Amino acid sequence: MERIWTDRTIDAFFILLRSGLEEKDIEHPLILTEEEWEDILSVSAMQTVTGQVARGIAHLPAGNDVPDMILMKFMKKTDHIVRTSAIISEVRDKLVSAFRAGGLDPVIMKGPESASFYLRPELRESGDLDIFFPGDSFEKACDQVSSMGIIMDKAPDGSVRYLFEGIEIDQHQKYFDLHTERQLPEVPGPYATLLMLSSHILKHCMTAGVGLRQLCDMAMAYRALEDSYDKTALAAMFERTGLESWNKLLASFLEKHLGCRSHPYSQDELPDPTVLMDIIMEGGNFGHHAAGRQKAEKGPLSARKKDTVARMLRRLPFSLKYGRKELFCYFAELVRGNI
Amino acid sequence: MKLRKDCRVTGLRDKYLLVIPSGDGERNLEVNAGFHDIWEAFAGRNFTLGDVSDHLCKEYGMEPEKAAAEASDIIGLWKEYGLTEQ
Repeated sequence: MERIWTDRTIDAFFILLRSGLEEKDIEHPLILTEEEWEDILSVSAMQTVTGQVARGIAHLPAGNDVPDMILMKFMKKTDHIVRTSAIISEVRDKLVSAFRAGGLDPVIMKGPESASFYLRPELRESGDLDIFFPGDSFEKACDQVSSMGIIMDKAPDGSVRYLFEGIEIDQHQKYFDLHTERQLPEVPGPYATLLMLSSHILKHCMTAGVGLRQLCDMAMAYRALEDSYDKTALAAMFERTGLESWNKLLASFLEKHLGCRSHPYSQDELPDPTVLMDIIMEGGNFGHHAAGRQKAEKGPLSARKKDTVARMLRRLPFSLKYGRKELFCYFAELVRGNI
Repeated sequence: MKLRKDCRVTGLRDKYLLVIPSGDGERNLEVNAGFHDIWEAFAGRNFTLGDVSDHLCKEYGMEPEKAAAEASDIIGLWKEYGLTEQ
């Protein structure tokens, strides 16, 4: 999507997003043209944060005019998000019950777990379910899925994908998007969740691209889990896994643009987050909206890979600075077909 | 009777939208705050014409006779749009 957003639109968008995330009233009115409101709607959809921006609109001061057509479009979209969230929650409960009946205990990760950190979980967009089984319970879970007559597709990284009651399930045997084995935290737990979310964002920044929803997930997780972890221990864990610089950059973005100060670096001088903002605004939701990406996604696998390689190369300076240790593993994953 | 579980009224600022799913997509109707309030009062529970009438008396201070007529109109409208189920 070739589109240049004005600073005014982006500023207004972030005011609305922050307000929606925090459920806080906006002090000053936003006086925007209908075209600018359309742009905000468009950025919200591209970044998959329409539900949170809609809540921001609800918190505008009384008398702040928003075109009726814009309100209708936001309501229609948020209704769809709420309905989808309800279906996913129902499917998650059924799937977890089915596994527990078979003596297994899945760990829900990414989407639905992240939604639980939001003040309005039903407005966090989700499209599928990610579940994790440690050790040999993964194979037992696969056996159980097969016994239900469900056909699974195996990915090159060993994870499996299948449909359960119409919802796509990604079943993983690896919780972290990391290739280090150094003292990874216990799963499930607050340290594991924060490391998983953070490394997932990094992986997408270095490869196909990332959207604001994932950044919002991180901000909301930091806030929701703030009393469950020790900030010094968390910073030490990020350092141990070679991700200190990355997490400082991430914290800088979360603080500057999403108002999050629950991260472990609130006493530190943080880097300028512009480089991260550029990646986010370039591609939106996992890079699906980047120029040329939609065409590549409709084409053969080779076209998608070529597009991803081009983007990985373009982001090489970023990747070498923030994820050097992971970079070569991601290239290897790309060759194997995991990215 | 009950209001259909799959129909929802969603609001943003002073605007309200009724979303009615159907086999070939969905219908969207803009509704007013009064519609929203009454819908929310009865969504997810069994009710009778008398319940709606009593609600109008209690919440809007209507006389019983007028409330009964209004309740009948409201339920008629819900039925006309296929928003109820037994």
